[in-house]
Amino acid sequence: MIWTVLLVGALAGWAVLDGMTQGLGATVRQVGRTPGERRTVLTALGPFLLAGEVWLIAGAGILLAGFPELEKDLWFVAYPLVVALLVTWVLRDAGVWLRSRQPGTRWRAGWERVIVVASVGLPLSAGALLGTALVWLPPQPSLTARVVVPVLTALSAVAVTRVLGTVFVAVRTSGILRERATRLALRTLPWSAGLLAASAIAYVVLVPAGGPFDAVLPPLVVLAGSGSALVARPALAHGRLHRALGAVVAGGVLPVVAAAIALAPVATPAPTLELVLLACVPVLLAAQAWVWWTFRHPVSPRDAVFY
Amino acid sequence: MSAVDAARTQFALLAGFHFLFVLVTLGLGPVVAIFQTRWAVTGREVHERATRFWGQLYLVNYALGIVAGILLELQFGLHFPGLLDVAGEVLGAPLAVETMVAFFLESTLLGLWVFGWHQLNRWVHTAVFWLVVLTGYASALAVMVANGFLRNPVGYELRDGVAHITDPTALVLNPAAVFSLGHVLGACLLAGGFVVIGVSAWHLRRQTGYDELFQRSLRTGVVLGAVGALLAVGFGFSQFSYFTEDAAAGQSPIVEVALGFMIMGGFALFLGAFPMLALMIGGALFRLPFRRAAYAFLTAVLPVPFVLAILGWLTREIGRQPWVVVGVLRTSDATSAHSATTVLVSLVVLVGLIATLAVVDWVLLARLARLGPGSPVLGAPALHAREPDEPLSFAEVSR
Repeated sequence: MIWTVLLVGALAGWAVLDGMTQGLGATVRQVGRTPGERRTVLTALGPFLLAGEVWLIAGAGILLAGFPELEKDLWFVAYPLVVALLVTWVLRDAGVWLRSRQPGTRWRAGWERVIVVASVGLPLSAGALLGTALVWLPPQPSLTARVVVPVLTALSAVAVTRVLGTVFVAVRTSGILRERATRLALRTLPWSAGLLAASAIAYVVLVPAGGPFDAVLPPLVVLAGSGSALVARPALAHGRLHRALGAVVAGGVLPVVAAAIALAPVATPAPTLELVLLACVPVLLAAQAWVWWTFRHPVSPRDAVFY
Repeated sequence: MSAVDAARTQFALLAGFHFLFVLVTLGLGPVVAIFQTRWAVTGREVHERATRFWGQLYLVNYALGIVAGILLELQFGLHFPGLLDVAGEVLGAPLAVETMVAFFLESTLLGLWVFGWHQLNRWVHTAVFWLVVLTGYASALAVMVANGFLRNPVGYELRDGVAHITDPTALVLNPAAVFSLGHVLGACLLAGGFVVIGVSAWHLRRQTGYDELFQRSLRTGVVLGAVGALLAVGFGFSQFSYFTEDAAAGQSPIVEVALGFMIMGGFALFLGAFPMLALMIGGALFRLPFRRAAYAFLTAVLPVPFVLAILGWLTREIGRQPWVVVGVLRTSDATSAHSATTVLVSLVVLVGLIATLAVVDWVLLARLARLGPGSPVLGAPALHAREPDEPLSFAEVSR
């Protein structure tokens, strides 16, 4: 039970916290139109790149230690997706770290394009991987289910991260950047709600019901997507950005939690390890809270610029 | 090439690249921390500049360390599922501590350090970086515990072909983990020391105008390198304590050559540390009549610890073959059922990617090192951190 909570916590944390980075990366050239504006957007990302991606590194460690069977089986059926996830992740990071290390329009524009493409590819492969876990472990008899569900979850992940990223940029910037980010978020919200609903419906229609959760979880996903859109939309329109951020974060966490419950992975961990890890959890959460609290304001001349 | 060979080659190359960056991360970290502490205590500008200059090199190097590490983390599940079947519980424990605790804290706090430059109290800011260094070393310990188990499996019991931890203390205090950690940390300090010495000597030779900063840096690098040489050589030999006779007898010629070169190189560095330390007394090196030649030499030898570290790593990893866990599991029995083509394609993609990025990163590091400490981006006020054509949309607005 503890292991399942740890795994789901790490994956859901990654989905929304790194999801913000992914959405920011995917829209960096739309929100920022000039080199300076784009660098401002990357400065808004600043401390959260590392703080977001460590959740998946932790998740992978928990998977390895607590769920080696699941990792082995999923990596075997989804080998190309895992490689795609790694490649897009590495490229996204490389783009953010290297973009501002050297002057020159071509250098910067080149890495910005890498950031955009990789930041779309990353949620695409992560979403597909989650969908694959749902319909390939064990493989569903229907080929349609095995293809349609991962495709829809992949597209949902792209839309959800795009909403997360644009709302995050709106919170962390001001002026024209905030306006553009808000506009993009408003335009993407119906897509994320619709795609999440489509994924849930496809799962219900194509995958035969297997347990008591199947009656609850897909509607929960529909509700998460639509509910968060219904709250976030007026909040964005009225400039209540933190409220909008809260809504889209909840809308991003719930589908991941639902998918994890549907998977119901069985943990086979080392017995003594739990205490060590549990003892550390408060420290880890405190460090994360410190970072997110310190940099909750829009970027200003006080902020250090690095990326 | 068989799938086993392709999987082993992929792991070896990815780990090799990761290792090169980790050496600098762990070796340069203390240098940055020491200079930042001096800055916090004295408030002197030369220490601030040194912190920002070395800190920037640390970060650009860290970027590649982290991405190479990401590729490495999923390699076990992708290519060596048999290892997880047999030793998943034992290996998973230290690796979970590494990823979930040590690395998680290290990276979270590093972001706080980079971007909290003007927002955190200077003592808190300094303490944050010391925590980054410490958690980095904790990561190294966790990884060496996992790797030490492969070399010298202890503290476990095989039940139905699956290894279960019976004695966590023995697992952590495994000589193949503890002695090797000392050895590897020595190598890291040597690598960090040589980077600092080489770059400083380059600037001193060209008289780029930061003599005080680079003389202080060179001195720090020499002390660090000397400590590193002592640790690397001392803990290097103590590792023979768990080498069994038959393991030594079955070594491949590659391992013998690599080991021989590493031992000779290690001795050379160890012996070189004494005259270098002597030359630091009263800053004698900086007044030598042939100091320009000495500077050129110190810059030229910068790659030496990296070459030696790769030789050492080859010795350890190839020396373990054909076992992945010595006496328990053969590498060929641990590899996944993927076809050789599949594994080769991912090898080309992943290794090609990381090799390209590594080269780009080294070129950037060389450029930043040459640019010198005039105006590092790290820790600069927003107004100074931008290129002329990059007006930040918040930089001119005052709050």
